Amino acid sequence: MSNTQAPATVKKLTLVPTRLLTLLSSDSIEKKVARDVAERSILIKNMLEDCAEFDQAIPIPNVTSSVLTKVIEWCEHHKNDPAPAADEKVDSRKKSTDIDEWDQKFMQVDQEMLFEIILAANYLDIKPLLDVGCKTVANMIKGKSPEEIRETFNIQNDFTPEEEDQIRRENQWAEE
Amino acid sequence: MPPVLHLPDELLQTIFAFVPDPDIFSVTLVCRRFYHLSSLPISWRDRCAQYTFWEPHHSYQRKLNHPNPSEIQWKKLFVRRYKSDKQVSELLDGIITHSTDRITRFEKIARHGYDAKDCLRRMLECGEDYKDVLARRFYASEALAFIHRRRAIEIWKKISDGVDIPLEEALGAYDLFITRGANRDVEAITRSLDCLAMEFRSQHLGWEELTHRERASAVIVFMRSVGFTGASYENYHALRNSFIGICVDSNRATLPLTTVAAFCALGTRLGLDVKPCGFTYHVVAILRSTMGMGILASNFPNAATNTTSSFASSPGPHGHVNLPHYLTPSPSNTRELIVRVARNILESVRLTGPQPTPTYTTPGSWDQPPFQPERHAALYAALTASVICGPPASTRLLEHMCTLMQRDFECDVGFFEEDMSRLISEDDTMLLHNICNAVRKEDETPKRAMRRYDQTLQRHPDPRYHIGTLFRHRRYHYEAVITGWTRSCSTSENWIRTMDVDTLKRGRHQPFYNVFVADGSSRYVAEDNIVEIRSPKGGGVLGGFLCVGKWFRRFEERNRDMGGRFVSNLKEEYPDD
Repeated sequence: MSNTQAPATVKKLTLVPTRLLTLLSSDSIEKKVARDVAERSILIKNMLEDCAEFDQAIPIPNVTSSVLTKVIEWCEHHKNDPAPAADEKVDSRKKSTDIDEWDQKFMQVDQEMLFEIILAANYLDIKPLLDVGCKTVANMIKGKSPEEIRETFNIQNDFTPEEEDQIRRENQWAEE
Repeated sequence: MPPVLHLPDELLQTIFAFVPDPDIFSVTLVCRRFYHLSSLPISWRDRCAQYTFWEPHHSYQRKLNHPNPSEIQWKKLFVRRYKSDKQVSELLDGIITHSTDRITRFEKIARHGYDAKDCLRRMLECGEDYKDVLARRFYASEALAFIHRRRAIEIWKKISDGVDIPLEEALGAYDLFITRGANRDVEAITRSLDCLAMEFRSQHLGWEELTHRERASAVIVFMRSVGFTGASYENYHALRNSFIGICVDSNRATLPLTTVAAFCALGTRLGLDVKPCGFTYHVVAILRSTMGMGILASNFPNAATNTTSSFASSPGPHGHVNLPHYLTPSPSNTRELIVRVARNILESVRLTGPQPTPTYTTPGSWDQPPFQPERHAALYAALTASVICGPPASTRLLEHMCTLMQRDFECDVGFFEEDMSRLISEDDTMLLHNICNAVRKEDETPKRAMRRYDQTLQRHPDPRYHIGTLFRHRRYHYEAVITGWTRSCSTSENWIRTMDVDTLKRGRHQPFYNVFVADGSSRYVAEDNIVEIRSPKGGGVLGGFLCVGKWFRRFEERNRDMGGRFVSNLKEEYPDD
């Protein structure tokens, strides 16, 4: 992405998909991003549909610049992905471990960032990124005992022993 | 607060939806918030949705349509179903690995009924990543077939007890004996007929206004338009013509009985009082309406029934014949029709030659047309139906059934023990008892190990070839795979003479092999006649037979020169192979 040559050449060709947009993060940092990349976000896409010209920076109030950078990186890499098929809940669950290699690497971040990305993907309405994020967390849960899950996410056990017993019984129903 | 708990409820729910079944139970035990978010009835309902087949007692469809999902105990239902899936999977593993107690394990699987079908179907279509893919597919298919037979037997028993069962279910039970995959069960037949009825309604707006006679004629015209017709002369005795499921699905040129049954099933859905009525050599449908009773006959062109078309010689404008005075036909009861189908099947089996055993091409392809029912499965269905719905079984029939059971349907021994004993004459009780005991005993007894290098058997040479070796027969040139061996010829003197065994170079004192041939047959071959071959990819034609899973775990490609070989699943019997 080159910042110097873009504005002059692009302004005339409003329909060329590589036109640059400016996004403004919650901590007031501007990010230049090609329009087709930014349009992976349904939120931004819908905003752009309403106005033909977009010269001003688009504020993204809920996302900090470090998260926005990650999200843009993801969108860049996936800008040519085919549109996601109609979502089949059952189907996607079956494939919970299937995350493509690039995405797996991309998601190797600390938990805080991971959840920020999920929140951003949700806010910006980028369904495939949201799925990858949620799958990553689901994979962190996979194969673990309740205690191990608590350790992984640093969660306090706030059940009374009676409650825990009750839930264990619910989970055993079949053996009645 | 830990970062994960910053996520709003709906995102945590999305995450939990991705957590695989076995782990979701751990999630419920992490903390209160996790518990509440993972325990909404809707999330358990969505987990239930991965299963296609349910035992009727769950009333799954009714629960699904319930306006308020929170009133349904979805978690309870899911937990039950999940556990039974797991049990079935473990039992199947046991069947694959242990050669003893297989029948007991099959019986335990069958107790889950249709709740076992999803798991078994997954296994039937499992991929090469399973090290025992061939055995897995085979035994999953056996278990499915067993569950289906049990369901069919239940249906026929109910009919024999006088319970009113829809015709398509009563005859569809025959399809249960021959369906390999899970697709053509009675529910599927019912659905297909429902679809046909829906199609009719959409084509005939205002059909409710028609008189019953007009409506019946419209149904016949409609059925012809969607391909229902009489079987051609050459195909008249084709085995498939006796199966209503095959008829509705694909083969609509079929026997009068089958067409009439489909017509009655469809007519009943459209508010007609139509019943099949059997005459000698012919079946027609009887329509009762305000105009009285009438026969609908020969409305499906049928070369082979011309001889009996006298009823139809003067059909009215709608293919409707007013009854001659001398005939007072009454609807055949379902039992009679079942026995009639049994007779048709026996006739087909008698008149048509053996057909090739079906082979496996692509996952889920078992039920695709052109589907040829397996002869012995059809035969066994016909005999079982006659025993349940017909007159008491003769000794000959009993023996015939026992032979079939011992050969291919050992799992059914429970049916012989519990039900057959009530359906035969008292004199045969002992015979039945002995056969059943023998089957049970064989199942419980560990197989005697055949050691390859046996010091005590020095005078017999050790067999050169191994279980799973592919070879060509020296004299007859067929391709086959070795499934067992003995150190010398272990058949009857008679067989040895007929087969001229003693003219072989080493005569009868050489290793003999049980083999499975590429035409689907099993034979017994002397070592002198075996020429090992380099096997084609995936075992070639042989690899396409589902039943190779009876002996082998998988086909293993080795190297370019050797080709591959089948990996034995008979380690208990042949530990050195």
